Amino acid sequence: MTSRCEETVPLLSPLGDGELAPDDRAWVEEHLAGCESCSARLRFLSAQGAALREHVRARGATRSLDGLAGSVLARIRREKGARRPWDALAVFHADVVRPHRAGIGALALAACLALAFVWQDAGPGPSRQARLALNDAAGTSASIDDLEYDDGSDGAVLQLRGRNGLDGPATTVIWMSDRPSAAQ
Amino acid sequence: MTLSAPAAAAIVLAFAAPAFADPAQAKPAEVDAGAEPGEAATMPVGQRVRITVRTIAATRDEQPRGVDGKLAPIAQDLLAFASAFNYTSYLLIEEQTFDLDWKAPAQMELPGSRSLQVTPRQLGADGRIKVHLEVLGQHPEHARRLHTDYSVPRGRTILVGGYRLDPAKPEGGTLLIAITQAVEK
Repeated sequence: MTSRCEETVPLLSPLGDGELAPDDRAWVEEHLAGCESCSARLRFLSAQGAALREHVRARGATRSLDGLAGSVLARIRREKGARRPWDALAVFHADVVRPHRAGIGALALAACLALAFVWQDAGPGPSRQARLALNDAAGTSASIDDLEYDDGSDGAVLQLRGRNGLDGPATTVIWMSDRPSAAQ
Repeated sequence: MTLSAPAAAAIVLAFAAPAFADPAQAKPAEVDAGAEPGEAATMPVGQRVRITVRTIAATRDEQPRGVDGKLAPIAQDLLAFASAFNYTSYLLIEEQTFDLDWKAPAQMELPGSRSLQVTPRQLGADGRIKVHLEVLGQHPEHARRLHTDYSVPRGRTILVGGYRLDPAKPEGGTLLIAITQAVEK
């Protein structure tokens, strides 16, 4: 990884989200044109985003929000005025949480992304081993029971539906992103 | 962005536990394909597994060639793949079909002096096929690059991708391996 790669990697997610300034975007795209490693990482991030969106859509499709607002307002009215021991948390929220909402939001985002790349390598060391079952509710797709890979790769498991729609079976993809050091 | 495995696992447990079934609870009752008594009712003697392995060159070409007609049996899987990866051409490199006994491995050479070994392990009571898959690195070291156990409904395909088509040519496209499992009656 070159120093320019190190500068590029943090900009890949904003690039994918269309949040880079034109100058930064041109700088990153110039680098991507000649760097397969960063290009692969960008594709990897894009796939993770697609998997996350798919997962959220699938979860949302099974939830009914009918009457949600009414039940929330009813509960607020019911509990209004009742002093509870955990009301002290409101102070904590005002003093600590609110000023750091961006960071907490980032943590929540990281949690969501973790759905898609639980196996991403954290750096040098022994082979990574993880165990996770990505079982879809209908049981119509493959599930990964065990996965181990060498240090030269980043790994992810994606459940992609594409044009099959939410009701169709997902296509399971094990994606191993080669690093430059892995190539001979 | 990088997460260590323990941190990611902790986050998944904290935020996503309801999203996925507990593997221990979701694990169906299985019949070992080896020599467990009483398995004949679930797994008739002589039943074999047919596994088709297709190696595919996924590339980004100035003139997209789309999906090779020879890949029609797995076109839906490739379309799903293409929804997340911006490759424009999918060409079949090689296709091999193996007629296997349970726990009998099949081997296949991959581009770039790599190889693959696939072994049907068990048939679950729900009809899902359990498979062990290994991808071995370049000769002569044959270092194991990946090994995994997965279960899949009959007839379904799993894709393994990301390795360079030619390890020496970063711009040469990606090797995509499609493995389709079926049980012969």
